[in-house]
Amino acid sequence: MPVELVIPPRLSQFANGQRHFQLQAGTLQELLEHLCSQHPDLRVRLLGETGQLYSYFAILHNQQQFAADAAATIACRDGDQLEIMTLASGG
Amino acid sequence: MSQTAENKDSNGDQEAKSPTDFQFARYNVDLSLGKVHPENITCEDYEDVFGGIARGFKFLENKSVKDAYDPGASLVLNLGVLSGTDFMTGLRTYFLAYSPLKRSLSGMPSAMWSTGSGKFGTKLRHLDVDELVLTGRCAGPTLLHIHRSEEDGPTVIDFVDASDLVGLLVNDKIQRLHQQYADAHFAVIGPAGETYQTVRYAAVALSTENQLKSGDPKARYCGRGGMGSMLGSKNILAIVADTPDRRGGKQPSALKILNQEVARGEGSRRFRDAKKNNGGGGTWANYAALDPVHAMPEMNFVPTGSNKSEQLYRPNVEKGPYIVKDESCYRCGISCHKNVYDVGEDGKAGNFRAKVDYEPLNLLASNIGIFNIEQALELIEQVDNLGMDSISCGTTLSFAMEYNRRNPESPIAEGLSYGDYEKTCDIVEKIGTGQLEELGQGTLRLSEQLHAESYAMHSKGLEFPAYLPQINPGYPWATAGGHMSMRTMFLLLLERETGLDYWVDAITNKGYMTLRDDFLGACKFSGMTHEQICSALSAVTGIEMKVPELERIIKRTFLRAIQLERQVGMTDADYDMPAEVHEEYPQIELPHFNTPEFFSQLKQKVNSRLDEMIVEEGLNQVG
Repeated sequence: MPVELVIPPRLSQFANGQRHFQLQAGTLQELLEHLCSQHPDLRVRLLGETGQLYSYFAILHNQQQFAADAAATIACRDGDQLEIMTLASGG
Repeated sequence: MSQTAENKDSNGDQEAKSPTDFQFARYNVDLSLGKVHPENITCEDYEDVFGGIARGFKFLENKSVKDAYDPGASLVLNLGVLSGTDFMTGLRTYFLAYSPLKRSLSGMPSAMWSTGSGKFGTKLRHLDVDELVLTGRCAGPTLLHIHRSEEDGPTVIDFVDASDLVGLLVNDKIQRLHQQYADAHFAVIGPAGETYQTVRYAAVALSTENQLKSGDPKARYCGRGGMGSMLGSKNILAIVADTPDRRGGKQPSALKILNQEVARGEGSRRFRDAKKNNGGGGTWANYAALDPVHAMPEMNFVPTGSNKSEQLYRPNVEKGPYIVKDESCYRCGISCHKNVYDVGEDGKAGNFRAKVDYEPLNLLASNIGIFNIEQALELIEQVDNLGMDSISCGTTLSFAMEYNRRNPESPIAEGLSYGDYEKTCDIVEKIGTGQLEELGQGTLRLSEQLHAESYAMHSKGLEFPAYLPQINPGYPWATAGGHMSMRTMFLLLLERETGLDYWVDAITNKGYMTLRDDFLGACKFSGMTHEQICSALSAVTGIEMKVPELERIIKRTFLRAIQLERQVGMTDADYDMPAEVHEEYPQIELPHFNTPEFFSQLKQKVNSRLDEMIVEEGLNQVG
């Protein structure tokens, strides 16, 4: 069973309008690489030059929140739910 | 807002609605004569029905004001159609006027508004007051006491001597009034508003339930554009909305569902705490989001490229000796207030210190070279309690510091410098008590006097908020001073687009859509989609509106604001940014695209497109 990955609503325009993805990978970092290879326009909007998830995103892994720099260490298991969430907010 | 009798069937039930089915209650208050003229006005269009800036701009476009402080100039206070209703976050009160701060290059004051939550608007709704138009000037310090002449009787407005309130800080005023008017909520000014002649960016504070119960200084502020200065110029120190709470009936199920979405849904998530369905922690989280890529203002909007601001990140502050609690406005489930307390003897929250939002924290700390949370908390509280807009005050301080850094031989503001906490406190006190007009006049006027416009961080006299202008060329078309009226500040960060057509589209079609909540009465933090807001309108008012129609009203409201700016002589030259914004700053880890050439082309294209849009909407024939 693959992992479900959800990206921020604003970024769906760079993935053919899609927000929800079913992907398979060992870690979230690999998952993101996989996603960006499928939708190259997402790469510059999610990942920095060294491939790290930008600091202004947070990760929800099975409803538990992690900072962006945890992407490499979050192991994915079948059925996991992962969401990339934008932290920057105005007001 | 009431429905006309003809629109109710024999059972009093609602039928399908058109604008003329509604009336709003306007109270024309002549402060010079001490007279009140109430009128019920049948709505002409949805702008009238919705209220806030949509209706307020219609009022202002028929006025000509050469001096914002002229007693003949009107100050409008109104509600949105959702203000004071059961829609969660429907708490907004609006103040509109020709601003003492926002100005055309030709010297004319420009139309402006500011809005805040708290419970004051709810009380006005319970008094069936949709709008106050304050004109003239009271002879002495006065409070307006709005109440019913008897239970269920007509609403009346009394003029009450307020000499005993003169000089009191914001919270002291509110607490004193609370002792006197137990059922009331309050709109007050601080010492800054009282000394409006020398402080152009005084705010209006609106009381909150939490504030009245705790005694802590937890007001909400209508900060931008000097609406507190306007109230002060009319010699009104406080407005008291005095009536027992009116309990509504059972909420329609559609509204209950929408309110659950406001409290727990995706739209408001970034403003909630992590414990509330995985929230992002509120605007304070911008520190951890923006600073690592050096896209956060420091030292008058020039990031240092260092990690100096890290100690102001919320997780680092929570290490102690402080406790951060998420608290809320009246009946709001988002709890966006991130209130900082000292740790009490029992290990729980002790003394309240300050409500920390990203804006005041950044502009009263990192952007003026202060990187110590204890000092930041003190400054935030000081500015709030004096009743000033933290954005305008903070940005004017940073401009003065930068000027002094560049001109050590001829310093201003007693030689104020980056990071000098003690001197900053002293200067803030002097600004807020009317003793330092040099800085109280704001960045535009000060920079003109000093011939130092190239790093004066404002457009049209409204100081930039805490988002880098280098990455946001949309600022000049923000009709109320930045992020809250032109939502373009995160576009480069999140979408990474640098094309001219993209930015023209962002400004002329998208960024201003955020104005929706500036007339409906809801808070922007609700994060509702247009579809959800249409559902809320249906549930609360019976108005059946489709999204395209709502979007057109938002567009017309924005264009009316632009047209109001043109009426006071704004031209291409007014839609500008300080020159140094266009320079390249290698430490900002985002593409450099807002060059002088880019901005020049953008300005030409945006203003041409706005010309067309104004004609398309027939708004060029007004005024």
